[in-house]
Amino acid sequence: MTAYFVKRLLMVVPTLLLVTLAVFLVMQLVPGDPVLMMMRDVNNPELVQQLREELGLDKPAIVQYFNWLGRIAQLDFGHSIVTGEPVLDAMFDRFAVTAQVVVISVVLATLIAVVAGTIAAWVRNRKPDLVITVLAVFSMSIPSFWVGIALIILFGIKLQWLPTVGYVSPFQDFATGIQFLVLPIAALVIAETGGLLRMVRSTMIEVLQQEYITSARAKGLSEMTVLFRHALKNTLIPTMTLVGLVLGSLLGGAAVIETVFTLPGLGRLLVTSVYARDYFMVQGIMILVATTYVLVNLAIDMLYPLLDPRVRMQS
Amino acid sequence: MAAESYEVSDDMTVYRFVLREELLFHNGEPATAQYVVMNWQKVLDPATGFQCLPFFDGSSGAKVVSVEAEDDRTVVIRLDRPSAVFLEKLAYIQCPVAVLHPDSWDADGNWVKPIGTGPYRFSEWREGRYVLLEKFKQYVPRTEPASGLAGRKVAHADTLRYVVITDLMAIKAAVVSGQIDVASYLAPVTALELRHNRRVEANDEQGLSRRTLLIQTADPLMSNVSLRRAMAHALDLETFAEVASLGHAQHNPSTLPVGLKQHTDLHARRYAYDPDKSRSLLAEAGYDGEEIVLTTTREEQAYFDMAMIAEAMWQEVGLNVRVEVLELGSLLSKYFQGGYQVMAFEYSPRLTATMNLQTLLGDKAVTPNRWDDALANDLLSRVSATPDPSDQQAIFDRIHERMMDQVPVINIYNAPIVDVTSKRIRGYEPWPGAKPRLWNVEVIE
Repeated sequence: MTAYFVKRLLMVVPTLLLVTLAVFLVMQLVPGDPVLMMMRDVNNPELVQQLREELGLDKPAIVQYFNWLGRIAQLDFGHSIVTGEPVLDAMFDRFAVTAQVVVISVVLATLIAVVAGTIAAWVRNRKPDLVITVLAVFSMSIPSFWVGIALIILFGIKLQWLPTVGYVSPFQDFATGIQFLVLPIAALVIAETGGLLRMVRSTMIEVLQQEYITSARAKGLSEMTVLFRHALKNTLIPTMTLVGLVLGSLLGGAAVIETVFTLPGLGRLLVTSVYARDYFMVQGIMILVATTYVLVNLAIDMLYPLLDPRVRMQS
Repeated sequence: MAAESYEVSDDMTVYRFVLREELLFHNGEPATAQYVVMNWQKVLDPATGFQCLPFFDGSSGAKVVSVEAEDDRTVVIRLDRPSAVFLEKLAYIQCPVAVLHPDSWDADGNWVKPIGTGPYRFSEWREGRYVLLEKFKQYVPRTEPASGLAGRKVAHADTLRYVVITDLMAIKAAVVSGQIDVASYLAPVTALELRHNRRVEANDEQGLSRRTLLIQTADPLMSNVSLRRAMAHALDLETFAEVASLGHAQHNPSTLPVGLKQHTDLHARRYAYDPDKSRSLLAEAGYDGEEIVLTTTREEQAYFDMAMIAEAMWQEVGLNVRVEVLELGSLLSKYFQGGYQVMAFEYSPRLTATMNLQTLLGDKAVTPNRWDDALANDLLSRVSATPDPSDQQAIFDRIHERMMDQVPVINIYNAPIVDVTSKRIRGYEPWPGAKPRLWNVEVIE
């Protein structure tokens, strides 16, 4: 188990190296220049040249790449070209906001999906199953930004119960902070539950047809015990795999939701940094996103033997 | 304004400013002439990276040769040659020379925060969240009426919080739900959408930004002046401006924005919409259906709308126009490198005639997006040494006539300023300079 974990962890290194190369190349190939973006319609060719030299943008691309690689090996991600703030500080500041929204959303979506998916499978092809399935399809079909806008119109404008823009950290002011998080979390839960629910339902249907479930029922166990003690564990492996993928991709930035609700999260920072050609910020965020994605999925893999003792990690 | 008064020498090389007596920096220290001198040393040091240094180091007009403190309240700035536009440069809104305390920078010369002298002082910047200003209680307002960025400024609100909201729908939701009080510089469509909302007020003002179709006169095809004239006469510019601004602005053919006193009747003379004349000019130009690329972006809706309207009108007279839609960063690269044939573009507001013309004219070898016309460049270079306003007007008029004849740009309209405000505030007025002014604004519950 430990050897497997270490091996998977070491595989992160070449993955990240490839990510650095890919991100760097893409940023070099995209037309546009961070210095010119800052200057907009003010012409000052001398200052443009001076800033390029200060930022090292006048050097050949290969030199820029290895300089940057050397710095990040020492955890020096540089400074934002646009705002001047340290990239590492900015990334973690924004990641904390994204993580609050995403982790709570995914946990809630998973709980709802597991309960509703299990019930739907249990009462398969009956009215409750139909209702749950329709709701799941609805959830999967509507984009998260539409859900966000609908929630803003209802709870922000019509009812005026909740704020629609901005962010207050719950660690500074819990009551106010939660108010700012409710709508983005609700939007993500609505948008993400459908896919998870469909996975739980279809897996549970398969599991409920297994002989050991028939055997458990024949022993006279209650349906609750059969469902939640014997069947559920076996449905969780594919579900957790999907949860890992969703969590990994959302932690990399729920850019749409963050933009709609003006949340200062990682996704919004990435989008604005791409538009501003903030090379160091984009490159830093992409490394963080890739690392998060790999680690989250590694953690999910580590959960498999806990959920199913038949699974043994091979080192 | 930090100055109580100023004098200009007859030869326009010496500018003497007397600072306001009660002027304090936001850290409580008196804003003396000695501090202004230190501030100028910072401005003139290339290491500071001041964006508009060329205005003062001699590379674009007169050079500042010395800045001295005659006493605690008097600052004297000497130039190497006469300049009638020095005050304009000081107040240039893209990069004004602010009076800042030296503690605005740390010992290594790195920027820390602005310590200025205005009615509100900097409190906190949370990147990506907000900038917070707080009332500077020791500020003493001037007595004359507020005007532009000067005059009487009273800080009614205890704090001002600036938030950047990139999504238009989120802006509308925030202002309608009362979470923000002022949303500035919005698209005209926002005013249309919110005009019947009982909670907000849409404010409309003639702006100074110039929305234009730039033509690269150095391009082999576009260097043909008959072709450029044909393109101008093919556009129904009245309708163009009306449609593009949703009725919020009228066509302005001049590089001088409507509202500047130098924008006289002569500057309202426009190209006649005449498709037949356009076709005959195309024949005269020897145009044979060569493709003309019109560059634009979707990130700025006004740019995209201009390109769409121009394409349709040009195709009507037989011009083979292809619209190239780029992401804004790519478009700006092309703009700076001059790598376009025609580009839908907007210049941010400039408050004076000279500053507007400087965005149009110049040396293509240095700034490839400029119109490099010997006569017009020579005329513009004379403004600085021309103190008499009527003589300056004659120069501006001649440049306009030359521009209309040579068609290096087709000016469409000046962008309207559309601000939406909550009805719980009083005293807000939109400003043609497209920046929200929040002094003299009160919250009335």
